[in-house]
Amino acid sequence: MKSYRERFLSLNFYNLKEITMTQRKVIRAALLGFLAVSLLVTPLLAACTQEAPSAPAAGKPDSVKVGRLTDLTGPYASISPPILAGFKDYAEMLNKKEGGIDGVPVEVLWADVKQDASLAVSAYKRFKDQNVLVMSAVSSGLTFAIKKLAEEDRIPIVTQAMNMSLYSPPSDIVWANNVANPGETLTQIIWFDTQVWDRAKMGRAWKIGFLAWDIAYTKGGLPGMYKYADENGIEMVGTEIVPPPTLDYTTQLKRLVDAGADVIFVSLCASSSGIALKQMLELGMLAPLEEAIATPGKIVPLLNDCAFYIASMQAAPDAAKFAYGETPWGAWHEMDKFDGIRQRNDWMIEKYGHIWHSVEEDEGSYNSGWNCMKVIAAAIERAVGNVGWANLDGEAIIQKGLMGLKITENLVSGDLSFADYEGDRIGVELVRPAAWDAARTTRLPIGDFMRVDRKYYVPSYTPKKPHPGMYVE
Amino acid sequence: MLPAGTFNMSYEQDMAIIRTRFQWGAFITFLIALFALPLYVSDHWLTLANTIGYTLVAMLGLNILTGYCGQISIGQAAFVGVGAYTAAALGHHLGWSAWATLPFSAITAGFIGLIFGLPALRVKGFYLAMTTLGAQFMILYAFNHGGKLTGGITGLGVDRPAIGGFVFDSEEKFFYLIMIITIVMVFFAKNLVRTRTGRAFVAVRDNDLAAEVLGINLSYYKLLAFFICCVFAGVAGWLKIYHIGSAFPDHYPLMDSIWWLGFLIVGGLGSITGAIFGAVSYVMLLEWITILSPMLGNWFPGVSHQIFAALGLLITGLVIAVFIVFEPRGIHHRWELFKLYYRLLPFSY
Repeated sequence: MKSYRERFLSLNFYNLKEITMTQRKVIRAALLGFLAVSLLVTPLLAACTQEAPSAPAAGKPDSVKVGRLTDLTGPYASISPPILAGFKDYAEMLNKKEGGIDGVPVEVLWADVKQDASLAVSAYKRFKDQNVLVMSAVSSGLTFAIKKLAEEDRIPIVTQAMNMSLYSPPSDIVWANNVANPGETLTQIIWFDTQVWDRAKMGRAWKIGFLAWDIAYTKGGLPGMYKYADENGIEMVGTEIVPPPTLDYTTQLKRLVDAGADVIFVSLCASSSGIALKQMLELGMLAPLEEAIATPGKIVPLLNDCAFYIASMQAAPDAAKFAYGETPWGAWHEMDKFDGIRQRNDWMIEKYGHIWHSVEEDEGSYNSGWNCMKVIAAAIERAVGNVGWANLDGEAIIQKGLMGLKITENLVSGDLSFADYEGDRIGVELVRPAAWDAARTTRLPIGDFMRVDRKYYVPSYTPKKPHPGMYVE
Repeated sequence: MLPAGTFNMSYEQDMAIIRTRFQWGAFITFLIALFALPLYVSDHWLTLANTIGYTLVAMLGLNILTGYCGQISIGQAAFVGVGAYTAAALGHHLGWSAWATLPFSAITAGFIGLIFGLPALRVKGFYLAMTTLGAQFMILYAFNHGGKLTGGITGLGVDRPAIGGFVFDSEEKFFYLIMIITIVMVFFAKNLVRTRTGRAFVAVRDNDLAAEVLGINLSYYKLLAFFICCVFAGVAGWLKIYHIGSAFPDHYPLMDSIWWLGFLIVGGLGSITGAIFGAVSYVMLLEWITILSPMLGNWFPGVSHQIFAALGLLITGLVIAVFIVFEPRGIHHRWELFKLYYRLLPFSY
């Protein structure tokens, strides 16, 4: 009887039709044997060739890596590109102008994960395998998706998420680089209540209606606003919550105006607020501020941060001049007030040859991304100063970098601090009321910075007097 | 078709899924390779394998409903959410262990699916698609407005599952948990479609009028298909929430439901292997695109990142369109042709 080797060698590979059944069995046996041997040998080879986990380098690393989860093709696609541009530009500027952090360049690893939790987790793991020290995310949904993993890995997340439940009760993993709800939403109401509406002259308290998208961010500020309205005698006439991305708000707007609203708080996102403003104009609801507050049937639209974007305002240029909102950021022409704005402008001119030229480059969003990377860089630099490069890890950045961090120089916003009160996890808390500056295509600050009282940072609130559609968890 | 030279000599042989020694060898080799994966891949690849695992479970359910029974659903992601939120609510509010919540996740999702499957008794095709689309929106609305029960806009967190002191707190541990459950679900699905129930599903799909004439209770089998589909979704939701650690309304988007349906076609609608091909190709394609778009952005710094990111959507949509036009029977069919070629190899006919 022929051995397997002889049988194998007798195979005629050039004429497979002549292969006998026995030979087929030989091929199968060889194939199976090869697979089995591969299976056994591959892990051994992999184990032998794998680099041993390196001990913390005594000297400086080649680079310091930061992971960024963004949403360029999901629901936040209209606001994420300028945020990512600002984030990457600050790192690039830092590397070019100052040689990175203590001579070590910053490397930004980013991924477009839409709002997909599975993609976010996968990208997080990929970045973790590449030894990122800090993670960053553009939204509450993405921050929630990786929070648990980051807690286990002790990797801090510096995020633009505005959902208060991420910061209250405070964790040492999630840090907001910018203002969170209801800081941004209440600023405008306090401004209107204390500086615009004269109760003595008008002879009554003013009335407010709310128009909000049915998502975490846009509803997040409602409880705080309800509480403020209750405590300050402002009558709430209705809350209209609509699913995104609704394009026709006329019914909701009419209902609020018919209920007697003097102000409509527009808590929408991206270009939808422009559409709502356009419909307000077409319905004859808009007028200059003085006329609007004195005329029944006219309203003052106050816009949340995401609604007060360049894309929204460009969508309705005629209506935008009647809208008001807020800004925690300095505008590009305020170089004398904010040294960070001067630094940013210089960089933009050096890199792009100009400052702003398209709706994609929303200044507020860009500043938010710029500011986020600045917080991360400052935290890493502070941690390195405290523990040195050899002991730098996520935990060191949390304890010795982010905890109690204060930044006072080169800011594009007001004060930035994580040390204003016990458990402070929100970097920027100073916000200014603003109008839309169509000529400069940016937000025009119309008042001083305000700090919203912490007692309004509530995740849930039931109004004393119920109103139609009120939102209560 | 059996491999040349292999004959069925008994009923058991006829019913066997794995028939030859070669197939047994290949199967065992595959299992060893699969379970040895944590030895030679990084956490990132294990995460992908885990994502493929629970995506496959969700797609298997959809395949039973759509591929075998011919009933369409565009709400599968929401049913996955029901499973996830059931586990989260029971764990968060009542302190149940993860293991105790697993059957409830499956059953709750199944019963919710049953409710949304009721319109299938009156409508089919496009109209049924619209009613399941309604399910997607209604269920997400419930997640958003469920107050303390669902955590509303802030969602609910869960603790990692544990057996005694052994906590599933790493990607490796989750890999084994997810793979074991996934294999059990594949086995269940594979056997289900070979039973009287499975054959009834196929009869309903191929011609419901003829099936009814043959004595098949259409209402019963259509609702059963919805129930089973959503039980699979519930199990997928359970796996997903414990893998991620929290339930949040944004984690169960409509687009998932649509992509899963599209990639079932890519994999091969109406076959278990097709669902496997579909889940693997869906997760790997998305991952490949997620890695590729920043690379392209770095290679061409003058071009907006958004353009390269949008390429991802374009490619994903294009893959589905190409398969629908050129190979509507999916990768599974090509795989069958490939196997057939080698089974006939010694013979020219």
